[in-house]
Amino acid sequence: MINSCSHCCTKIKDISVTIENKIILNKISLHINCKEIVAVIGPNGAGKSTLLKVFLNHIPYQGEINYQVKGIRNTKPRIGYVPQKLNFPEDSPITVLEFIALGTMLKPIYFGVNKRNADKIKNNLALAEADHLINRKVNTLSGGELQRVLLSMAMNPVPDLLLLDEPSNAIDMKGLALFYKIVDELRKNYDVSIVLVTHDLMGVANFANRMILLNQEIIAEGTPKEVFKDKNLLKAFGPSLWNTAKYPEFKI
Amino acid sequence: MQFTSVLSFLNYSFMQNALFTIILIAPIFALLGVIVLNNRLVFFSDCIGHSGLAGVAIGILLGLSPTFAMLILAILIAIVVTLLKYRTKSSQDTVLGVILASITALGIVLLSNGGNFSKFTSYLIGDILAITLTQIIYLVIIGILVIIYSIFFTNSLVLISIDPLLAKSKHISVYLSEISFTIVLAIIIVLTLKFIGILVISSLLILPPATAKILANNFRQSIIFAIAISLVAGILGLMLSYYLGTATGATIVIVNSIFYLLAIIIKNLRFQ
Repeated sequence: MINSCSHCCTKIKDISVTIENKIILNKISLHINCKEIVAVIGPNGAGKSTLLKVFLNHIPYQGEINYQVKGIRNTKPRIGYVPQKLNFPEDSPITVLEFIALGTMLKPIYFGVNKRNADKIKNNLALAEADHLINRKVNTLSGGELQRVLLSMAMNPVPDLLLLDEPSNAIDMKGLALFYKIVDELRKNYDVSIVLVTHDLMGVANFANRMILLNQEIIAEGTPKEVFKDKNLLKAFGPSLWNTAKYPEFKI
Repeated sequence: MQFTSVLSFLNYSFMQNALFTIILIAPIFALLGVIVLNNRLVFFSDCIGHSGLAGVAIGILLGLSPTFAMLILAILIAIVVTLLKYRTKSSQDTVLGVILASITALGIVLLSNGGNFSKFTSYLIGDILAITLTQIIYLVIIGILVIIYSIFFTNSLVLISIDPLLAKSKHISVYLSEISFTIVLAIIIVLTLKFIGILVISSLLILPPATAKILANNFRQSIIFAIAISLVAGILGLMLSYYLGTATGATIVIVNSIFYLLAIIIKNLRFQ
């Protein structure tokens, strides 16, 4: 049971997205409380990434999104976003410090990052256990390290809503456990609402407060335990789904 | 050869103008070139350069100044290419390939009508020695505007090149940043085209940042190195072109290419 602060939430109502006459999302309605982790699962092409683009206002959509902070409508919400991978050229010399400064500093990074900003960035990296990576080139980071750096960037400034796009795709099992642990601590300590798009059903089962099965529309919703019992889950993913039950983390 | 005789080319006012132009445009090209490389706009800058011929032809046909016609055409291409990037499923390379081929062919057809193409070959190889004081003043003004633009947009453009959605989450306007950069780039290319040459202008944009990237330990260094390399190669290329009697733009590109090769060798030696 989560301890929501009850005044902060994200409500989306009847969100629909149509691209080239194809319905990608159809009348999605959701209510996400603060301190809540909502896992969005679904087969490939279900519209999971499109839903994140809607939150980021990156594509045209119909419907309404309403962010509330302390009961008041927030028209300029802070949204943290952690992409699953980056479009980073292998020869890019950008360091972790510079990369985070790109999104947080107005002064162009060719003027350098002053000590005050560097300290702030380092403290934020420490939240995601990534402060030791500050001077590394981004293209030399492992999948898990990069996700923690991205998480730290998304938490600077602390967002009203944190979006995580398939972190399990880029991280090994050990790294993923650490990543989930850090996300859970951030949720508790900073009252952040989190939407996590994932294929890692078993990994998030013990971690998410709520699970949504998406396939153009919401076809099942509830606690992970409830969604796992829903017959629509098997229909959406096929029988191969149950092979994942071999993982010890699967304790429903 | 004594140092004073090496600098004897500065006895001529047209060489002084050329040197000043290079000192002016080299850092601007380096600043823009870093973004061109990062945001994969090399083919786009080539496309804008090659649209110059068609711009000149349209200017002559409509009785407009060739530079004005080139500017309008280049800005139109910049807007169309950026919009198509988000509106079609075709890859950016395909769109640019089609525009590059069509616009170059159009320019050649229009200018070669009546067998007069040879009159326009100076646009292909450029002539920096022909720059006038008024043109230099225009370049100074444009240069200052580009530097101001880069102060406001560099961070946004680099973040967009890494992940547009991540940039969007930081309240960066992806469309505004991308379209404004392609327009700024188009303007700079068109205004320096006549002096550098259509055939080599995009090389001048990308070679210094490409060399700098090999040697740099971070992004800041890559920009500082790119500016330094662009300046040194520009001045050296100008001097060589004077003593060898070669086209300045192409000579600068050759010097830049040698620097690029040297950077690869230095990097390999470092790892041994």
